[in-house]
Amino acid sequence: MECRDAQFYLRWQRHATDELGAEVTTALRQHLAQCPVCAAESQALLAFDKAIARAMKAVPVPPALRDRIRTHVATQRGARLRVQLYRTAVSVAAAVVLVLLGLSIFSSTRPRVDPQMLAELADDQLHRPDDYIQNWLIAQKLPTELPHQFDWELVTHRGFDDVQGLKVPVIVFTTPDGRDFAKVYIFRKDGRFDMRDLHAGQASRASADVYDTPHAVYVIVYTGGPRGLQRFLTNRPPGGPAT
Amino acid sequence: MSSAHGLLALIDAHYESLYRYAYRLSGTPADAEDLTQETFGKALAHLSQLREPERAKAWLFRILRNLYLHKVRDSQRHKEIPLESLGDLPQRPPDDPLPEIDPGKLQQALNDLDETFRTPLILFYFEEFSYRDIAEQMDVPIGTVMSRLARGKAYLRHRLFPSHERDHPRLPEAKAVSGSPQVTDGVP
Ligand SMILES: [Zn+2]
Repeated sequence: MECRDAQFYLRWQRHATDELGAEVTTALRQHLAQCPVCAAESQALLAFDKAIARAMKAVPVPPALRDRIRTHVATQRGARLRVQLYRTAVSVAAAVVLVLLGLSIFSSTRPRVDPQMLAELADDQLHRPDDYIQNWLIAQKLPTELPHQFDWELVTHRGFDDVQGLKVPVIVFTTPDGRDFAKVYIFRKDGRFDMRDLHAGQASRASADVYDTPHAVYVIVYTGGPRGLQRFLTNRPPGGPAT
Repeated sequence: MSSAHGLLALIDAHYESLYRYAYRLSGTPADAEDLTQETFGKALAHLSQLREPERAKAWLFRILRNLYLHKVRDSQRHKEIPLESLGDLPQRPPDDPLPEIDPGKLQQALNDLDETFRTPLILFYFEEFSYRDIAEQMDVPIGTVMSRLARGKAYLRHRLFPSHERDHPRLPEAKAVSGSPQVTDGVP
């Protein structure tokens, strides 16, 4: 390779990648090894690229951006779902209204039982169990991280349980054989409960572990013995669930 | 798309690089944040179109650029920097080490540049996109990308290191890269 060819190719050489093809790269390398002028030019151009790349990537990312994006997307998901449900509702509304008027039981104040909406929610849960839970946690203004890496595919329910007369958010996981379950109760630190000095609990077939975090106390109740919780985690040991 | 590759995983994996790309494209933190959020909003609506999860990053970058182009329309997109006057070779840098580049000055230089030159430069210096990837992002031939990059780099040197400019004999007219597509000039 001659100097003028080398100078031509130098414009497009890159630090980490070989995009000029093996033949050109080899010839260029051989030329640079024996031509100090082109070698110096090569070094200078690569140094220039390195300096620009460093400055180009020096963009500070706002610390809360990730959470804001997640909230934005969750809101949008909710809106999309509502639009879908609204369309479904409108398409059956005329028939429903006629039937109800005929039966003279039409009421504009009571919410109607909507099996279609419930079916679509279940669909949602099945297709994207992780989003299904994460979006719900975001909507409840709860932390999106749980004390363990749970396997979202095993979620069967999320909602509220009555605990000593108060509604408490809970996520329920069930093993594929349906025999064992884990319930994650999330107690907000909002003063509704006395949460001083909590200890793990143990009954004949279930255990309750306590995790105290800055924003909430998690009580995880699970069946299946002392290692039963492992069955619901993504990092559970291979070779089948612990019993 | 399965739950394992759900949107939340996409957000976690790519929001930072998308934000940086958006910032370099738009020049302001507020626009960059809007663009990043809208990109994921759009991705949510079209998630079923993403057939190859390993192409997710390129797909998201493409969505973001389209949103940006839609926003700025023609007014902001086309700038009056006469790149023709610069030729396409960065001047030979001096032997003394280059001073550190102020990221803010770099942004000013990018802001003044036509989007058709700005985008390939940003993608090139993010170092994760090949010439072919950049060509696909922009729907132009690879030779056009290489030509715009050469001229864009010459422009950056002119803007960021004016004191280093000096007479440098122009090399004879470039010939095509053998085995690679013809290097073309200007807009296809
Ligand atoms: Zn040489």
